[in-house]
Amino acid sequence: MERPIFKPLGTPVAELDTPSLVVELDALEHNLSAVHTFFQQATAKLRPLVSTHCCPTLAHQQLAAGGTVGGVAVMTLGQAEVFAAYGCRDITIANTAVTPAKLRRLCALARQSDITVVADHPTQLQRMAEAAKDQEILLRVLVQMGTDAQQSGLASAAAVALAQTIEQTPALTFAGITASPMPMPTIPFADVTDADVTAMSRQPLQQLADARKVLESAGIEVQVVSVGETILYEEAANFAGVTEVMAGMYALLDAHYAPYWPHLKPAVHVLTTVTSRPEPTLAITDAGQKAVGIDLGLPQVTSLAGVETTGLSAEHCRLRLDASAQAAVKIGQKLWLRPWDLGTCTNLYDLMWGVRQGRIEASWPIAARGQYR
Amino acid sequence: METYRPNIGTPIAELDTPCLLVDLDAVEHNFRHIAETYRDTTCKMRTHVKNLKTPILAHMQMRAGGTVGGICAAKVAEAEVMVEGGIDDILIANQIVGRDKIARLCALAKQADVKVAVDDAQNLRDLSDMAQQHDANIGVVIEVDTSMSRAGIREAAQGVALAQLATTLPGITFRGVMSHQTLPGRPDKATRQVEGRRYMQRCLEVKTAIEAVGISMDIVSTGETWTYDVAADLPGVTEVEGGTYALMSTAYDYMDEFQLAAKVLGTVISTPRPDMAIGDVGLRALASPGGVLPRVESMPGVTVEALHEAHIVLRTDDAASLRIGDQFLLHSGQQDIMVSRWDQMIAVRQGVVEAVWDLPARGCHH
Repeated sequence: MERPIFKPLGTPVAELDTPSLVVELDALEHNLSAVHTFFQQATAKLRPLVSTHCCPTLAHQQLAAGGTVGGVAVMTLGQAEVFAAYGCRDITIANTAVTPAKLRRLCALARQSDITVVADHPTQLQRMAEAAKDQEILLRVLVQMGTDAQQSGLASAAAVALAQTIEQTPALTFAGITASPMPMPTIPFADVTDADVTAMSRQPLQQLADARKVLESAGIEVQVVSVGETILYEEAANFAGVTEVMAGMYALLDAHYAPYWPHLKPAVHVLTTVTSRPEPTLAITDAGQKAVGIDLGLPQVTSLAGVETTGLSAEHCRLRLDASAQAAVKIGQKLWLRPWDLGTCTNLYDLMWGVRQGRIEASWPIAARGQYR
Repeated sequence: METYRPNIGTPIAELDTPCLLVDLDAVEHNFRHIAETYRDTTCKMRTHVKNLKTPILAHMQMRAGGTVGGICAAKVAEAEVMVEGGIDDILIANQIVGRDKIARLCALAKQADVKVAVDDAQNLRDLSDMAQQHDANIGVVIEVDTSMSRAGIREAAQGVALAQLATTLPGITFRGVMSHQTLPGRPDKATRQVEGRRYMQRCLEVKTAIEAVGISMDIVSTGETWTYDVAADLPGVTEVEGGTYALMSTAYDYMDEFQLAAKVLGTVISTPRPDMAIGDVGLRALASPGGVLPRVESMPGVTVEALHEAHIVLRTDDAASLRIGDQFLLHSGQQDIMVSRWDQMIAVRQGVVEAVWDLPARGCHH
C-alpha cells in the first residue's frame, strides 16, 4: 500500500513527496466538459470506461457531467465489485466469467446492481446459464464481436447464433453487441501507421451496424450496440445503429492518446524528484518502473525543455540533458512526467492528488487498482 | 486493493484467478542454496526486499542462514514496512533526497540500524542537518557506479572526498561503499566470473583509496543475483545485495541453481479459434517491460502471443489443446516489477495453498 506523506489541502504541489500521481483539475474539467457536452448532443451516449483510472470519485464526476447512459464500464469483475461498493449501479463488465468461483461472484453482484457481462463463446453462455439458474437470477449478456486485427471475438453469423442461444436460455437476457476498435494497447506493439489506426477504428463500426441489421431481421431485438475505447469516439457516437461508446482515456489523457485529441488536455502526471546528478548529461530520478509503468512506452518530461527520458529501471528514471538544461537540473528538483499509458500507471498508486493552479485541492482513492480477478 | 483469502488446503485447481503464487518448495530451495553458499565465507547475503515486498520472506532467508542478519531496501517507505515487520538492520541502496523523506529516514534510524547510499556532498550535509534535528544517527555508504551508468560516484577521488566529509559531519556514521552491476544477455559462469570481478573491483578500488587516507569501513556491499558466487570469493567484499534469486525470473534462468518460485495462475476464458486461447490475466498484472512476454509453465506447444490490458493471447500447436476453464501458470521476465503490482501472494506447496501473505510494501514508492 502506498504510504504518502499527507499534506493539508492548499499546500503547493511542489511540496508533495515523490513519486506521486497528480491530476490537474482544470484540465480534467475541461476534458469532461468537452466530451460530455459532445455526447449530450450525439445519437449514442457515453459509458465511461473507468478501468483506465480505477477511481470511483472520478467515475461519479463523469456520470454527473451528462451525456452518459447512466452507467460505467470496467474490465474485470473485481473492478465491478469495487465500483458497485462505491455507489455505481449500472455496470458493464467488458469481460466474461467461466469458473464456478467467478460465476458465483458475478451472480451475487448482479443481484445487487444492474450488471451486463460479455460473452463470445457458447461454453461461456452455458456456464453463465447454469450459474444464473442456480442462483435464481437473470444475467444480462452482451455479445462480443471480433475484428481481424484482434484475431478473437466473433463474426456476424456467429454473433447471431450466440444471440439466439441467449434468447432461448431462460436465465439469460440478450442485451446487444459490442466490439473494440484498435488501437488497443498490446504487447508486442502493433506496427501500424496513423492511417491504419483510423481504418481499423472504423471497421468495427460498420461491422456492428451490419450485425445489428442481421439480428433485427432475424427478429432479435438489439437494445445495446456498444463501441469500445476508440480514437474515433466522435464518429462512433453518430454512426447509425450505435447506442453507446465505452470511452475512458479522454478524462485524464496520457501521452499515447494525446496526439489523437488535440482539443483535450493531458491531465495526469507523476511528480518525481532528481536524486542523483552523476554526469553533466545524466540525471536520475526516483520514479522507476514501479512508479510509472513503461510496458507500453516511456513517459515524457513535460516541465522542462531539453530533458529526455532514456529509460527506466525498477526504481529509477534516467534522463538525458541537453546543454541548455544541464544547469537547471539539480538534486532535489522536482520534475513532471507524463505517462505513456494511463492504465498501467494509475494501477500502481493507491491515491491521486487533485491539484488546481499549483495547490492541492483533493486526494482521491484509486480504489479499484489491483483488481485483476 | 486486492483481497483474496482462499482457505488453507485449497487445491490450486479451485483458486479464483488470476492470482500470484509463490511455490514454497522452490523458494525454500533458493534460500537453502544461499545459506550453503555463504556458510563459511566472510561475505554474507543482504537480501533485497524490493523483490519480495513482505517481511516474511526476508525472515525466512535470515532463519535459513548465510545472511548479514539484515536486508536491503530501495525506498524509505519500504524500509518502514520491514522495520514494522521486525527487521532491525536495513541498508537503503538508494539516494534519499528532500526534507520530508530525510525526516522519515531519521525517524526510522531511531528504531533500527539504518544505512543509506550517498553520491553527493550536499545530500550528505542535508542528511547530517536533519539527523541532528531529530537526534538520530544515520549510517552512510558511498555508492560507486561500476557498470550501470546510473547513480554513484565515477572516480575514486570523489569517494575519498565524500568519506572525509562524512567522518566530519555530526549525526552521520561512515560505514563503507556499495555498488550494483549489470551484465546483459545470458552469460555463462566463466563470463560471470570475469565480468563480475572486473566491475566489483572498481568498488574495491574506492575502498582501498578511502582506507589509504586513514578512514576505516565495515561494509563493502556489492554483488547481486548474477554475481552472488563471484562476490563470495572476492576478498574485501562483506555482503551481497541479492534480490531476484529468491523468487527468480526467466531473465536469469541461465542460473539453474535457483528455481522459479513466483508464478501467476490464470484461466482460459475463451477459445476463439482452435489454435488460440484467451486467458484472464493481462499486462497490468504481469508486467512486460521492454516487451518481454511471460512464459507458460510445462505446456509444450503453448506460447504467449500477446498481452492486452486484462487478457493474454495463447497460441497452441495442437489444435484445441486448451479448453475454456483450463488453468495455466506464467513465469515473468522481470519478477520484482510483477510482484510490485500485487497486494497478496498465495503460498503453495505441491499444488495446495499453505499460506496467504500480504505484500505490505507494494506501492511503497516514497
